Amino acid sequence: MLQLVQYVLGGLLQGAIFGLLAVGFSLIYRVTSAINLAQGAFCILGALLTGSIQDALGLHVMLAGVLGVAATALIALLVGAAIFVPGLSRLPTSAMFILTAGLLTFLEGASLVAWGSQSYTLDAFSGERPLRLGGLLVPTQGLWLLGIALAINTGVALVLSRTRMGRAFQACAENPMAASLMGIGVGRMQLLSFVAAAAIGAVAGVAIGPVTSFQFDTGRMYTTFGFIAAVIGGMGSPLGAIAGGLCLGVATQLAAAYVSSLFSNALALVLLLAVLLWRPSGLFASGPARRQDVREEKRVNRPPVRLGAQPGGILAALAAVLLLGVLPWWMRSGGLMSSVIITAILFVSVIGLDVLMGFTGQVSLGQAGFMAIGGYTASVLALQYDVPPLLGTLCGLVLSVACAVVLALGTVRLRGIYLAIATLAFSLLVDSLTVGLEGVTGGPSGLVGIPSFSIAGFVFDTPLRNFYLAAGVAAVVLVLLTGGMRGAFGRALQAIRADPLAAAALGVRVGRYRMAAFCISAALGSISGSLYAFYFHFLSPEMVGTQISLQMLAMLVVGGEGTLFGPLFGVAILTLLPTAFQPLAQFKTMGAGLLLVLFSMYLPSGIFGLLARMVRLLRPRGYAPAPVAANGSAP
Amino acid sequence: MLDVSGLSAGYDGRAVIHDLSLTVEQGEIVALLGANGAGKSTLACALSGLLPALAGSIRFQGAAIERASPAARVSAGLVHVPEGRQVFAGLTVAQNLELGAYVERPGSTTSARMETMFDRFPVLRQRSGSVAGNLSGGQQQMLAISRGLMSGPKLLILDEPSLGLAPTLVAEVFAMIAELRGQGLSILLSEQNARMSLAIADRAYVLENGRITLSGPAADLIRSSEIAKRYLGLGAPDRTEESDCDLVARLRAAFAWS
Ligand SMILES: Nc1ncnc2c1ncn2[C@@H]1O[C@H](COP(=O)(O)OP(=O)(O)OP(=O)(O)O)[C@@H](O)[C@H]1O
Ligand SMILES: [Mg+2]
Repeated sequence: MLQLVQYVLGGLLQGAIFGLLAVGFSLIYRVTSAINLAQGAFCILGALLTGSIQDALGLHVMLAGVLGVAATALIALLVGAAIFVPGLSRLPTSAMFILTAGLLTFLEGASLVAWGSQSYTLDAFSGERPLRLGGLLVPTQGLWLLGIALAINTGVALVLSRTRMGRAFQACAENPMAASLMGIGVGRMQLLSFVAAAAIGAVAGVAIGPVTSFQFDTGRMYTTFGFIAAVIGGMGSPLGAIAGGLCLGVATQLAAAYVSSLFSNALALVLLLAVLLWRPSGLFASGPARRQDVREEKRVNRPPVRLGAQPGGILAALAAVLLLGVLPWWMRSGGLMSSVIITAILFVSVIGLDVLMGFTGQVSLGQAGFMAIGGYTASVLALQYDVPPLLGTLCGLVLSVACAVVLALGTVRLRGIYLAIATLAFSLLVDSLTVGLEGVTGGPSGLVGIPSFSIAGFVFDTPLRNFYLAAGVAAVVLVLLTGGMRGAFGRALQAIRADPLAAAALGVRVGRYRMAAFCISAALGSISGSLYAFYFHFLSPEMVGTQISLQMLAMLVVGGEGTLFGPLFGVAILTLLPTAFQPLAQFKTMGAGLLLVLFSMYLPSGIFGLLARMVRLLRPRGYAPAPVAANGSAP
Repeated sequence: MLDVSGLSAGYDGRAVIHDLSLTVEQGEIVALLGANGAGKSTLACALSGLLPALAGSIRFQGAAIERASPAARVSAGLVHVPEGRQVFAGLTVAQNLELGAYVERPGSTTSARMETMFDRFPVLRQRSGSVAGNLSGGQQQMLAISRGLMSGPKLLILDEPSLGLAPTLVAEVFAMIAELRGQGLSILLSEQNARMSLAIADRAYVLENGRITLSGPAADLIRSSEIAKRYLGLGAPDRTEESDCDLVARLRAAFAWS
C-alpha cells in the first residue's frame, strides 16, 4: 500500500512536470492557434544556460535560474520576432508545424555546438535530502515542481480567462485580421505569447533539471510529453494542461512500476490516441461546441510547384540518371561513395514522406519509425532465423503498413496537427522499443553482423553493387509514383491537399486516400530502413531515431514538397555536405534546422521550385502565362 | 475628415489600386461602387492599415496615418467592418461585442453601447450567450456591423454590409446607415447594391481596375446613363430628392425591386 502511495506520489511529481511543459503549448495555441514544437528546446536552453551561468558566476541555482530564464526569454524574443511571428502571417498551419520543427532542430543543433552531447543536471533548489512524511520519501524538488506548476498554470489560466489581454489573446487566435481591426496589436500579442511560453518553458527546464538529467536533444522529449499532456487536458486550457499532466504522470509512473518502464511510453501513446478518439477536444476542455473550426480553413495549403511543361522535368531526370551512372565509376569507393549510397537509400524514404505531405498535405514526424520497423524486422529475421533479405524486407514492409493502418484508423478523423503528433509519439514509441527490447534489438548498442542484401544468391556486397541496388530501387519507386500521381489517384490526393472539405463534397473518399498515402509512405520508409541495415551491416536506435524523422522533414522541404523528384536535392545536400566538409559535421543538426526554417519561410517550393522557376525563365516568353491577361479580362 | 491622395496599395508589393484620391467629409455617406475585383476591399484594407500603402498619403482628421498601425487607426476613430463577416467564431456574441470596444474611447460605457446594439438587432440579444460561429450568416453580419460600432467610431468603413442578408434586413441595414449619419458619423460604404447605396449616399466614387473613373454627388450619378448601364441594369430610373424619412420607408419596401 505504502508502495502504491509512493508510486502515485512519484506520478504526481512527474505529472507536475508534464503540466508545466504543457502550459507553454496551451498559451501559444490560445494566441496563435499554432503548435510550437520548439517549446521543449527552450526548456533545455533555459536549463543549459542556468547551468553555465551557475558555473561561471558561482551563484545559487535559483539565482542562476532567474538569469537563465531571462536569457532564454531574450533569445526567444529574437527568434520570435525574426521567425515565428513573421511565419504566422505567411504560412498555413501545417507549414507552421514544419517551421517550428525546424526551430526545434536548429536550437538543438545550436545547443549541441555550445554544450556538446554530454548529459547535465542542475542542483536541487533546496538540497538533495528528501523529506520524510510518515513512511514516504518526498524529494523537496518535487514539491518545488508541484508548487511552480500549480502557480504558473493557474496564473496563466487567470490571465487568459479574466483579463482584457486574455480576451485579446483569444481574438488573435480566432481571427487575426478581425482582431487587428478591433485595435489589437496582433503581432505584439503573438510575440508576447511566444516569449512568455519560452520563459515558462525555461522555468520548467530549470525546475526539472535537478530531477532528471538532460542534454542538447532532450527538448524533443519535453515537446512530446508536454504536447501529449496538453492534448489530453484540452489544447489551449492551462488548467486542463495540469490536469492532463497529472493523469499522464500517474498513469505512466504506475505502468513503469508495475509493468515496465518500456510500457510507460507505450501507455502515453495509447492514452493520447484514446483521448484523441474519444474526446478530441480533450478531457477537461470546457467551452461551447462549435459548428466547425474556422481556424483550420483560414490558412490554406498552397499548391505545389509543377514544372510547367514536361520536357524540363524529363531532361532534369535524364541528367540526374546520367550523373548517377557516371558518378560511382568515378568515385569507386570511399566516404563520398558511401554518402551517395545513403542519399539514395534515404531518398526512397523521403519520397514516401512526400507522398504523404506534398500530396495530401498531412504532416508526419515519424517517418524514421517506419524505417526502424523495416530495418529491425529484416535484420532480426536475417540474423536469428536466416530469413533471406528480400523476404525479410517484405515482412518489415507488411508490419510497417499494418502499423500505419492502425495509426491512420486512429487518427484519420483528426485534424493535421494531431496526425503529426501521433506520428511523433509513434516514432518515440519505436525509439523506446528499439532501445528497450534488448533481447531482440540489441538495445542501445544495436545489431551487428547483419548480412548484405541478396537476391537469389546474388550478393550486394561491394559499394558499387550497393549503389546500383539503392539507386535502382529509388528510380523504380520514382518512376512508379510519378506515373501514379499523374493519374486519378494523384489528382484526388491533390484535391485533398487543396481543400479536404471540397474534395469530400466532390465525392473523393478523403479518409481512404489519406490512408493509402500514409501506407505508401510507411512502406517506402520500411524498404529504405531495410536497405539501410543491409548496407551498413549494423543498425542502432539512433540511426533510425526521431532525429532522423526531423532531418527527413528538412530534406523534403529543402528539396521541394509535392514534386517526388525534388526531395533528391534536399537529401543530397543534407547528406553530402557534412561528408564533404568533415569539420562541419557537428553543425549538421543546426544546419538542417536552419535550412528547414529558411526554406519554409522564404522558399517554400524548395530547390526544385527554384530550378523550375529558372527553367521557366529560360523558356521563350510565349510559354509563360501572362499575368496581365488575368487582370484585364475582368469586366 | 478623411483625405486620401495618390494612394497605391496591393498584395506582395504589387499594386492593385493605383494613384487613388478621395475624400470623405464629416457626416457624409460616400458610396464606393465597382465591379467584382475592382479593388474596393483592397482600398478598405489600405485605409484601415491591414495592407500597407505603397505610395500616397492618407490623412484622417488632419493627421497623416498612412504609416500608423491598424490599432492606432482604430484608436483615432477609423473603424473598418470587413467583407465577409469575420466574427470571432469561437467567442460568444457578447464577447465579440466587448472586443469591438477593445480600444476604449471616451463616451458611453461598453455595456450601454451593447444595449444600443441589442435594441437595434434584438436577435443579438437573444443569442448573446451563444457562440458567434453558430449564428446564421445574416446574424453574423449584424454582429459584425454592431461590433464595428462598439468603439464609437468617427468614420466607419463598411465593406459589403448587406452581403448575405435577407431583403428585409438589407433595407434595415441601409436605413441604419442613414440613421448613423444622422448621429454625425461619416461612412464610406462599399456595396454591390449600387441602387440602394446611391439612394442613401451623398457622394459616390466609381472604381474600375483600381482607379477612380467617375465621381460626383450620388444624385447625379444615379441619373448618369453610364452608371445605369453598368451597375443598375439598363434604363436609368428617375429619382427625385427625398428626405431620409421617406427614404427609410421606401427602403423597407425596397426588396420588391432589388
Ligand atoms: N490576398 C490577395 N492576394 C493577391 N491578390 C488579391 C488578394 N485579394 C484580392 N486580390 C486581387 O485584388 C483585386 C481587387 O480585389 P478586391 O477584393 O479589392 O475587389 P473588390 O472590389 O472588393 O471585389 P468584390 O466586389 O468581389 O468584393 C482582384 O484582382 C483580386 O484578385
Ligand atoms: Mg470586396
